[in-house]
Amino acid sequence: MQQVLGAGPTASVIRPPRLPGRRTLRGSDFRWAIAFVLPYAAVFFVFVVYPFGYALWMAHKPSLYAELIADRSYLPTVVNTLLFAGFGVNVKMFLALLLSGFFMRRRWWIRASLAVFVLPWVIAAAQACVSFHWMLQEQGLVDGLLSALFGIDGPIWFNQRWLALGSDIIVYIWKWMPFWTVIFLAARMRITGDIYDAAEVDGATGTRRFVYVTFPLLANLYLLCTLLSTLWIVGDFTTIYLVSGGGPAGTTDVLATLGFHYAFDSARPALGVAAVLSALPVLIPIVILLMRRPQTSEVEL
Amino acid sequence: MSVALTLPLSARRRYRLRRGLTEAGSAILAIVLLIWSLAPVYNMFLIALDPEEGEIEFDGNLWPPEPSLEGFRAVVTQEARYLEDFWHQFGNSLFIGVLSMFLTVAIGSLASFAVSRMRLSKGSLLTNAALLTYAIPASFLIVPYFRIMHSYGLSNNLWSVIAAQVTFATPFAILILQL
Repeated sequence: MQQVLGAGPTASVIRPPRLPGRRTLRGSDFRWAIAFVLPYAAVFFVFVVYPFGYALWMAHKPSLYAELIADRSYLPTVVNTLLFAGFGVNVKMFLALLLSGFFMRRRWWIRASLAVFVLPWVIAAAQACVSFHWMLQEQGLVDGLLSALFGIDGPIWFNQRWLALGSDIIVYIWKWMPFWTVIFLAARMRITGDIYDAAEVDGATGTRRFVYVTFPLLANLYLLCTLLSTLWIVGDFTTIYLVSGGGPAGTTDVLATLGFHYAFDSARPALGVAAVLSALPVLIPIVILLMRRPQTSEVEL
Repeated sequence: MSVALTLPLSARRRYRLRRGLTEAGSAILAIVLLIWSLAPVYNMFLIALDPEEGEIEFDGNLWPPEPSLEGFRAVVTQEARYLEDFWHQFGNSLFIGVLSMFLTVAIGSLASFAVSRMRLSKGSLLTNAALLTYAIPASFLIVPYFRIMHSYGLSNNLWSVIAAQVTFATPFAILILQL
């Protein structure tokens, strides 16, 4: 992840200028370039194209989708997926953007707290999710503290759909916010001081500085990260599976866990693949947006 | 005269007050963030140090009254249930982690070097194809992978896990290295 820190933010501000005429590679250079690309091409065909084709083939029968729609648990699952992705990504990204500003402050204790703050990112997702599951259980840490400190009987978190889904979203934000905060922090560090000095002369300080200077400079990176994060959260299986376990009674399942249940619990692999592939109409436009990567150099103030 | 003297004084006081408030706000935010980040870790320690097996309830003690490292000892000496092969499993994790990291960096940096520094024509095609991998998030391919690894003869093999890890980490590496 070191590269992320080093290279990510470069994009937000400067990009090495492209030479006007594209050089074409000749002779041995060309052969080397092909040789360098070959390992990834092999991985791509063997582990992406073939499995994906296989998945499409497994789920090509229209009757599977009719069966999905007819399944009463499918529509709530789609709603859950949308809510989980919508809140999970946007709340996380916005908080990460704000927090990156906080960590820019030059105080030794703020820098020190950053080291603790990135801890969730370092801890493996599965372990963290299990710990949250225990914390939120009946008589777990959260309810225990609520009754010890305020004398409130905490709710049974996994006994109600919205509480359980909310817990999933919070855990997801806990796990992934530090990563994006670090990305934004690195991007903010690349913004040179003279831009801020000039803005200050023009009277942009405080909130106005953020709205008119910092945010426009980070906007493209923000968009890029949001898109990428959306793709990842739709495929996020660990959080839901380990925190709420899809409970109560499967009402917090998302597409990824529903597909898993169909495939391995109900022994209907084709239906499971169809369930997860039904998210493609949403995912493919996002990928196309990502491919036409916002030109990060064309930032205008 | 007195007005001229008091104005800067009150302005200075206001400035100092605002600075103090900012500092206090930062300190509160930092403490909230620390609690937020450490709560699950703290919970894990609480459970791990509790001598009673199977105890995950919070019993009002912020620290176990009789913390014991018995749990850790049982794991390390492989006495715990389900952990008879702890060191073997630990080695597996290490093996998967190190090899995935090495292969991802190697494959990703070679490909992005060829595309962005050597300016391979149609190189952007490769980057875009790599991004296409994320149209199908990893968990969506659990079932196809399960079958395909079998047909590759990689089922019950650590290499299948490494292959899956590398497949989904490399596109991000290529994207980031090209920025």
